[in-house]
Amino acid sequence: MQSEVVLKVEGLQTQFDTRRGLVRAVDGVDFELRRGEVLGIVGESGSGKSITAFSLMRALPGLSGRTVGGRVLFHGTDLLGLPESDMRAIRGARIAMICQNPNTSLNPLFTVGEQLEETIRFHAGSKAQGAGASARQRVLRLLAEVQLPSPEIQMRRYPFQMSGGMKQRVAIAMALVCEPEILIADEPTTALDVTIQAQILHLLREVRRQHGTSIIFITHDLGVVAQLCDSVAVMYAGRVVEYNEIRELFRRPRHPYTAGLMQSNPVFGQRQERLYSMEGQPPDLVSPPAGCAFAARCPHVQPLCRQQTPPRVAIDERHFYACWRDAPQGAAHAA
Amino acid sequence: MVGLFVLVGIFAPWLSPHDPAQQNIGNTLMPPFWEAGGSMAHPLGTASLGQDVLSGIIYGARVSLLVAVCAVFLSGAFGVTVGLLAGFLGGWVDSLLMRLCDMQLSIPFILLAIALIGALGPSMGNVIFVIAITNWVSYARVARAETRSLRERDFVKAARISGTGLARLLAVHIFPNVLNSVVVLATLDIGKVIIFESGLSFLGLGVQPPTPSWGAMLADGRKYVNIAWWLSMFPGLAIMVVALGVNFLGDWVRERLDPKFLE
Amino acid sequence: MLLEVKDLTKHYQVSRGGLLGAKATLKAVDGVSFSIAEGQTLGLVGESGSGKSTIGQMLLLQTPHTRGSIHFEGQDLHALQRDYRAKLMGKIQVVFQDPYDCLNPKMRVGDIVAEPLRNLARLSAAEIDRQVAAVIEKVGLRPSDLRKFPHQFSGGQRQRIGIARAISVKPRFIVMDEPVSALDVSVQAQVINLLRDIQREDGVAYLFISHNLAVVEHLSHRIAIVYLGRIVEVLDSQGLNTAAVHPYTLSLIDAIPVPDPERVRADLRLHGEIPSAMDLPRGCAFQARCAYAQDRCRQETPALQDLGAGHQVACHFHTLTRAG
Repeated sequence: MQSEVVLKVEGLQTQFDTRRGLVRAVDGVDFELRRGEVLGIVGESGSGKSITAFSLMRALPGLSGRTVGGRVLFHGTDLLGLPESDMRAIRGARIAMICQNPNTSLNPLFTVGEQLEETIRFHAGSKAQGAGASARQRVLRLLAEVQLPSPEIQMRRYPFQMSGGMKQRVAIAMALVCEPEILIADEPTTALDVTIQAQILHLLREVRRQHGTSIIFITHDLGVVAQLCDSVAVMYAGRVVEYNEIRELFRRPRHPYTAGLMQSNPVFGQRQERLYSMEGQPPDLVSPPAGCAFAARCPHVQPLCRQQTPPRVAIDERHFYACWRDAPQGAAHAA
Repeated sequence: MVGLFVLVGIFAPWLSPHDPAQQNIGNTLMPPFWEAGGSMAHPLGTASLGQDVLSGIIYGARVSLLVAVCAVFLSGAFGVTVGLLAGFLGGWVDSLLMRLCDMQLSIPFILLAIALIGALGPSMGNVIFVIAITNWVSYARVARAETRSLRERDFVKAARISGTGLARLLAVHIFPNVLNSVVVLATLDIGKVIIFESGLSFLGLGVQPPTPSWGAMLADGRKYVNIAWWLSMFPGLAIMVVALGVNFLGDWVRERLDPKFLE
Repeated sequence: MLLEVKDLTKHYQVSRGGLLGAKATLKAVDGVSFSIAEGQTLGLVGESGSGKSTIGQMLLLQTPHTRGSIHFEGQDLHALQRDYRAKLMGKIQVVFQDPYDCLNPKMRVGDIVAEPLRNLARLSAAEIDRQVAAVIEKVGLRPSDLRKFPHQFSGGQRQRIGIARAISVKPRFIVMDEPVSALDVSVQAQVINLLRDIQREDGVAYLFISHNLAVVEHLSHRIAIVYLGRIVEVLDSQGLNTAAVHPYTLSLIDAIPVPDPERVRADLRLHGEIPSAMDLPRGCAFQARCAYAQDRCRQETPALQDLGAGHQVACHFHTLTRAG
C-alpha cells in the first residue's frame, strides 16, 4: 500500500558560521516521507538531527546559519526556493513543529485557551473551518483531542500551572490547529517521565490514525523509534548513514554505527554482564576528518574509509546506507 | 584608546613639554597653536596664569585614572565582599547587609562628598575614599545576585559535600564565577568615576592646585569661556573621550568573557 | 549493613496561595526505609515528584530531614558532632547529573579532583598529586588532562572527572543522582561500565537514582521503586522483569519503549497525570491511577510487606496484578 510522497529531501546541507570556523551541521541528508508515515530521525547530540528539522521549516536558530545545498520538495515544490511570504503560509499551517521544551512554544503570560484561540484566528485565513464553529468550540475540541481531562478547566489555566506532559499536549494542540500534513516533533518526550512519554506516543499514533498526518519524529531513543516509527534515518556527524524501514533496520542494521548504537543501548529485561560500548566520540564538525566520519570508532574500519567518503549503497529503491564495507570497489562517487 | 591615555598618564613627566604647574605670567591666556597669537611652545594654549594646557591635560590624565582605578578597586572589593556574604549566607546576614545598602543609597552623593571633604579636607586620597564610600552598592547587588544563583549550582554542592569550608567556598568557587559580571561593571564604572572626580574637582572639592585635574581645569576655564574657549574645550574633550573609551572597553570585556562559556 | 535508613521523611510547609495564605504540607518524602550492604548498588527508581532526589540529598546531609534516622557504619549521622561528621563525609560522596554543571569552570581539572583530598586527608602535596594522577587514569583520562579546564572536555569526559573527584578519597558509599541521564547512549554505556568496574575493584556501594529502569536494572543489585515519596516495592534486580507485582512498577515496566518493532504496545496501561505530593489522599498514594484500586486502598495506606527473598511490596492486592 503505497501512499503518495508528501516530502522529499535531497542532499540537504546547512552550515553555521562560528568563531571557531564553519560548522557543517547538516552535510548530506536524504529521505522521503509519505502520507501518514512516521519517519524517525535518530542520532546523538551533534548529529545534526534538530538542525535538519529547522532547515526543513526554514527556521534556523540564531543569525549565522544558512542552508546552502539540497532541495526540500513539498508536493514537488522546493521549499528552499520559496519566497518568505509563501513559506509563512506553509509554516505552522501545513507543516507544524513541536519542540522538546514546551515552555518555548507557550507564552507564560496568557492562558492556554487564549493562546490556542489566537493561533486559530491567525490561521483562519488559510483554511476554511467548519461552518458555524466558533473559535472557542474549536479550542475545546482540540484540547479534548489531545486527551487533556476537563478541557473547560484547562482552557483557563496558565502554562506554569501545568505539568510537562500537559504542556506538551497543549503544544501538540497548537500544532494541530490547521490540521497540518506534516508534524515535525523534535524530541518531544525526552524531558518527560516514561509513563507520560508513553501517553504522548499513544496520542501521536491517534493523531496519525485520525488525520493521516505524516510525522517526522526526532529522537535519540531507539525504543521510542521502534514503538512509533515506520521508517528511520540514522544520522551521524551531519549525514544520514542509514535509511531503512523500521523492521528491517532492527532485524539487520547495516551501518556499523547503527549496530553499535543498538548494542550499547541497555534493554530492560536483558541484563548483561558488560554493556557494549563504542570507543571515542563524534568528530569535530569544524574540522571533520577526511573520509568516513565514523572511521575513528568503527570496528570494521579499512584504510579506504579514512581516505574517501563512503558512497551510498542501495538497500532497495528507497533506502540506503553509506559504508565502504559492501560498496562495489571502484564506485567512488561521493554521497 | 584607553590604553593610550593610560600610557600618557604613566609617562607624563617625560611627555609633557612643561611643568603644568609652572606659571608664566608673561604668557597668560595664549590660544592653541593654530590660532593667531599661539605658538608651538604651548600647542593647546595656556591658562590664566600661563600654565600650559597640554601639560595640564597630560598630567590630569594621571590624576583621573589614578583616582578612578583606586576608587573602583576599593568600592569593588568592599561591595563584592558584602554581596558574596549576603548572597551565600542568606538569612539575617542578608537582611542586615541589604539594609546597609539601602541606607547607603539613600544618601545623595554630592551631600556626602561635601560633608566628608569638608571634614577631611580635599586631597586625592580623600577623593578616592569619598567615591569608594558611595559607589560600592552596585557591586554588592550584582555580587549578591550572582552568588545566590551560583549557590545552587552542582559544583558548589559538590564542594560542600567534599568538605570545603566557607572561606574556601567563597574564594575559590563563588568569587571567580562572580568576577565576570563584576569586571564588566568595574570597567564601565571607571568612566563614571572619572566624571565624578571631575565633578568634585570642578566644585573645588577634589585635588587642589597646583596638581592639575581635568575638572579643575574646567572650573578654571569657566571664567574665561568667552575669550579663551580652549581652557574648557580640551579638558572637557579629554573627559569625554576617556569615558567613551572606557565604555567601549567595558563592552569588549563583556563580550569576551561571556560567549566563551556559552559556546 | 553499610547504610540503614529508617522512616526518613521530608515535609515542606508551603502556602497554598490566596489572600489568607493557607498552609499545606508537601510530603516530598514520607517514611522511607531501606538498607544497603557493602559494595552493593541499590537502584532508586521513580518519576518526577517521587522524592528520589530529595532522599539522596538527605543522605548527603544537604537537606535537613523532618523525621527518621540514617545509620552509616552503625553511626547515627544526625547525632554526630560537626567535625566528626566531616570525617565521615569522606566516606560518603556524590556524583551529579549534569556534566556541564558539576565542575567549576574556573578551576583546573587537577584542582577539582584534588579538592576532597585536600579538605579531608592529611597528605603532602606530592602525595595528593600522585593519587590524583592515579585516579584520573582510573577513569580513563590522562594525567596531561589535569592541567586543562572543564570546557575543553565533552559531556562524558566531564562526568568521568566528576567520578574521579568522588572516588579520590576512597569513599565507601556514593550517592549518584541520574549520573548518565544527560549523556548520549554511546557515552552512557562507557560510563556505566566504568561505574561497574570501580565497584568491582574498590567495593564501593552506590545509591543509583534514576528514572531509567533499563539502566538501573543493569547496574543495581536491588531496586526500590518510589512513588510520591513512598517506597512501593523493593526487589532484586534480577527478578524485576518477572517478579514485580506492584501496579505502579508494572506500569513503569509497561511504559518502557521496547526497541523491537515486532513488539509494539498498542494500548496504554497507565492513564492520568502524576498528582502533586501536596494533596495526598488518604490511603494508597497510587489509588487514582491504579487499575486494581478498591475501597480498602482509599482507606488504608498499605505498608511494605515482606514477600520473602528480599522482595517487599506495599499493596493490598498485589496477588491480583499478575494473575491472568
